[in-house]
Amino acid sequence: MEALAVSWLRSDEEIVVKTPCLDCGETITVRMKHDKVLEVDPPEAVGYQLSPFVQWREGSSAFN
Amino acid sequence: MNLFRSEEHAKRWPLYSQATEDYILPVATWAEIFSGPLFTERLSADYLEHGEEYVAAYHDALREAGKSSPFWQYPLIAEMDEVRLSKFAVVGAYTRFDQSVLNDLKDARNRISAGLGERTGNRENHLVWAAPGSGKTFFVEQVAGSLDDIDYYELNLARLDEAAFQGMLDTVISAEKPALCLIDECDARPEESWPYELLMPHLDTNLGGGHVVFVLAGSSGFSLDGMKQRMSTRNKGNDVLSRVPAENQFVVAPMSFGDRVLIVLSQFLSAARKLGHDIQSVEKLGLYYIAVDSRLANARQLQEFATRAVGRVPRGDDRIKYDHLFTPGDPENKRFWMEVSTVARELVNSYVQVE
Repeated sequence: MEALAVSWLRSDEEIVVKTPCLDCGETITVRMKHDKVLEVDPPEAVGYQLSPFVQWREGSSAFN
Repeated sequence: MNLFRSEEHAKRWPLYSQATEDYILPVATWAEIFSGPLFTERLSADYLEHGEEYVAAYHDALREAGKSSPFWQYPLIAEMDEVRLSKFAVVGAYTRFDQSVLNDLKDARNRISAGLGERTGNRENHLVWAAPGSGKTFFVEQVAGSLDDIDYYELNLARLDEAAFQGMLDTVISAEKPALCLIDECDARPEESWPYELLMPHLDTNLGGGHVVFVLAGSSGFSLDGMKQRMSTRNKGNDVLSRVPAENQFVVAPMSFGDRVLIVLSQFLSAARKLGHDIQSVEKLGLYYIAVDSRLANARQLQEFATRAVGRVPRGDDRIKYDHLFTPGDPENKRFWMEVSTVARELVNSYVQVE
């Protein structure tokens, strides 16, 4: 979430986030403006939240 | 949030858990979800006052994303008053909740059965890609159990060495009756050349006057196409694949929340029969607990859990209550109730009738 939330800090500007894929290490690029994603490379990139919502209140790493 | 180049990459991650597969979403979808008030209003002075409203908006956004998650599927149980298990039966005790999945598998069952009827002289081989835990082996076992006067063989490629595999195949093709043979984990041992070298000629058994239906089943590659692609790169892989008619290739879809509810109910009835106890209904909160508890994900654990629960039901009572799921004083009872009490209160003291 933090990566995607960066754009909220500068909501009038276009933000580019570059991050390695946790599986293969290759770059994922996300271009955003405020809460809208303008481009994702590769387009099939996904976000994965490890903890089921039902367990969030147990203090699990929901937003990691 | 963990970012991956694709769903397949996420599922290869060592920390990936199948219990949380619903939480893989496209990056843009997550961005939309995080644009909701649950996240954007965090610094507002009245954030806590609007907490329930913001959580509801979050649930709605997830639902719109098309991902089913046990947590927000409790309405399925809330609205469920009566379940006739036979309505969901594909074959034998194998049930599926979703009607399209149910009908696709009935079609597959019919094609397999037809191949074991009159001798056709054609290859009657099938290829199945099944999501992990979707019960592909049980499905084929139930198909075999529904047919009279056939022999059934189960060869798990991951568990057999070359000599044992050859020996079993020889037994299958020399069977006197029509034979149904499941080659389970047909995508195992990718580094070996012998599996498909041995298997390939046997897939032509029917052309030489034999009568065998082979069902090749695997779970790798995230899809039927993915599994075929992996198989095709192996020695004799394309030869094996070319011996499976296109219409005999099918998918066993992942278990949904509804499927899990059916399995739980079925296990309760089965345990009740074994213990000589007449069970007619299950408290909805108990059903919800079992359906969302990832620790009860495998059939054996579920079976043992159901047996213990039925054993706690007093004689003369035909209901399984939420409290019967736990030994007296088990803190898990209270923990789960505290966890879901704000959203699932209507599941308490409300029962699903089971037939």
